[in-house]
Amino acid sequence: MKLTRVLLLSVLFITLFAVTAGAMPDVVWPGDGGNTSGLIVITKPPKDRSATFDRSYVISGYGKEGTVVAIYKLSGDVYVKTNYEWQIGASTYFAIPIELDSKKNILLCRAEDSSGQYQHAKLEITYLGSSLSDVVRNITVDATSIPY
Amino acid sequence: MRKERIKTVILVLLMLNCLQLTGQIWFNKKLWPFGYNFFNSLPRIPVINTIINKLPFSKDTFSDDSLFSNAVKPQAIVINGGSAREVYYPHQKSYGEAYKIINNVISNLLASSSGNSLVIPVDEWQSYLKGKSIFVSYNFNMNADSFAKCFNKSADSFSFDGIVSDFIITGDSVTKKSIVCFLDKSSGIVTKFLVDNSGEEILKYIESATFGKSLSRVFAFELRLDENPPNTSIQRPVLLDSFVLLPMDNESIDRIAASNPLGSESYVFDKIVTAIGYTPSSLRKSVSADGTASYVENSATISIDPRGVIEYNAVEAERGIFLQSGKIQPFNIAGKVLQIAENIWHATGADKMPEINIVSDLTDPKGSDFFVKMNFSYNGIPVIPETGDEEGNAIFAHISNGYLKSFRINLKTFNKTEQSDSTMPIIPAIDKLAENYGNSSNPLIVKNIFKCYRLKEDTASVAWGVRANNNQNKTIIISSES
Repeated sequence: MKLTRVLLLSVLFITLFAVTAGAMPDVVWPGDGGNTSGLIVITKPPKDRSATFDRSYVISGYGKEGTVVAIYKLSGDVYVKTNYEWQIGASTYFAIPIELDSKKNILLCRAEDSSGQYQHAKLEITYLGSSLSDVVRNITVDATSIPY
Repeated sequence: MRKERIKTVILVLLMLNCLQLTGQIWFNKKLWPFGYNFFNSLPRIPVINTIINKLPFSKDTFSDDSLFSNAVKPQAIVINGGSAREVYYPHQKSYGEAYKIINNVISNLLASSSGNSLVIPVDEWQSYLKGKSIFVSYNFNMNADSFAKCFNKSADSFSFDGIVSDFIITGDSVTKKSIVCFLDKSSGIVTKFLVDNSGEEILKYIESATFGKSLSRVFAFELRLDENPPNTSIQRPVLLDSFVLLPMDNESIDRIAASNPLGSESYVFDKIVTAIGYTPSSLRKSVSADGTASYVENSATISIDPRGVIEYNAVEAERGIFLQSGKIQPFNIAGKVLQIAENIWHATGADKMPEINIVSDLTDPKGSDFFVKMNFSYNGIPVIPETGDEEGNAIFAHISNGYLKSFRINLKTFNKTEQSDSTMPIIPAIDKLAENYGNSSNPLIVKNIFKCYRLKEDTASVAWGVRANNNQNKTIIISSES
């Protein structure tokens, strides 16, 4: 009985550990360059720096089936995980539209497979367009210059 | 005197009527089965056939241009605005407006005999797709004559002897010229024409059509998903053609219900046999246990299944239904097959025939055999039957040496329901395609992906249709159920 309980707990621990080990971290340090380079190929943006006039930008490419990919955004000194996460299917293709919420978007694309290998790709996408909300956001008022 | 004059007039009228009736009987009506009527075989002689075509009561050439031009209308018109893209479908008012502009430019091009054309690189074609242009894609290839007939025009003045798969219309903002480019998908050659001075008008139309819109659809080349991988170990079982248009958003589509308009009344079956061109009373008729009626003649069989499938088979080509002599004109043959289909439809007593689209190539056949395939559509969305056999088309015709050797039509009517369905997201659909049909060592090349209805008996569900380089050249249907 005691042996059965120990075995059961061991199996549960190993399973949970494997799940924990496979889950994407919430934060990635900029210095971490990954431990492999063959999991995904990003076709768009074609280079690590790109610019667009559209708020919605499609990140596309292909990768090994089963690889999980997530987008991180630079916030302060670290990359923080966004809601964009997907798993590559049998076709190997991915094409994810993301919303650019600021002028300069410094992103990290992390791809991880079930064996623990992970790959990082840094992307810098600059939003060049202007919308009414941007114009309003950029208006500044100097209170000292308002006549009374 | 007056009485004599009246008698003369009546006599002349009677003689003219007599001549006209004789002409009808000799050249248009089959009073006797093939091979037993000397006059029936006369039209097959090329010289006589040419003379007959000039006569007002001749029916050798397909005459209902609107039937053909409606069947070859593109299933979608893409308006590229640079940073925005719109797609119009046949049931939309905006489709009609776009098609009018296309019609004007193409009509001017076909009427032009100046031949201002040059072959351009594919990169320039891609740049037009990324810029401001109107892009029209057909699901089949056409020769110049067939393309001209799509717009009810002749290609006599048109100096182009290539194949049309897709075309682009755009304008040059500097010269104000309108530009038309044709893409031949089989060879990859792009031919550019400078047409008329409506370039500025075209660009203005494009700007207004795409103002405030987004880039909800992207071509595979814009995402660089069509490129060959660099040194990488990632094996791709499915490859995308550069000009596959990928929708980034899900679409909601009306759910439709299909039904069979054919009853089991014997007189309707007889009318169908007459519509095909035979006399029911001169054929041997039998009815099988499942209600299928077979009309048998020495040279051909017509079978009518009450479930809506009508088939015609001739024992050999020259015993079939004569369509055309001499060199095959694909648009003429397709038009005549359409006419037979419409005649059959009317014979059933059903309302207007559903929308129908040609899906087989209208190019010069290599040998004596020519195949015509068509599918029904609803609001411009193809309805593709899953019949379990090789073809899966609503209409299939095999023409050999100018004779209709076999013909099959699967009769269906469609009605909108109160519900709607969403399309499956495109990347998961391509994943499913890869799971079922992909092969890393011999990748499947996807040439086109389009929304469609998958028809199984009388149930139509929303799906993706895929045209690829598979051996059967058949549309692959992908849905969440497959």
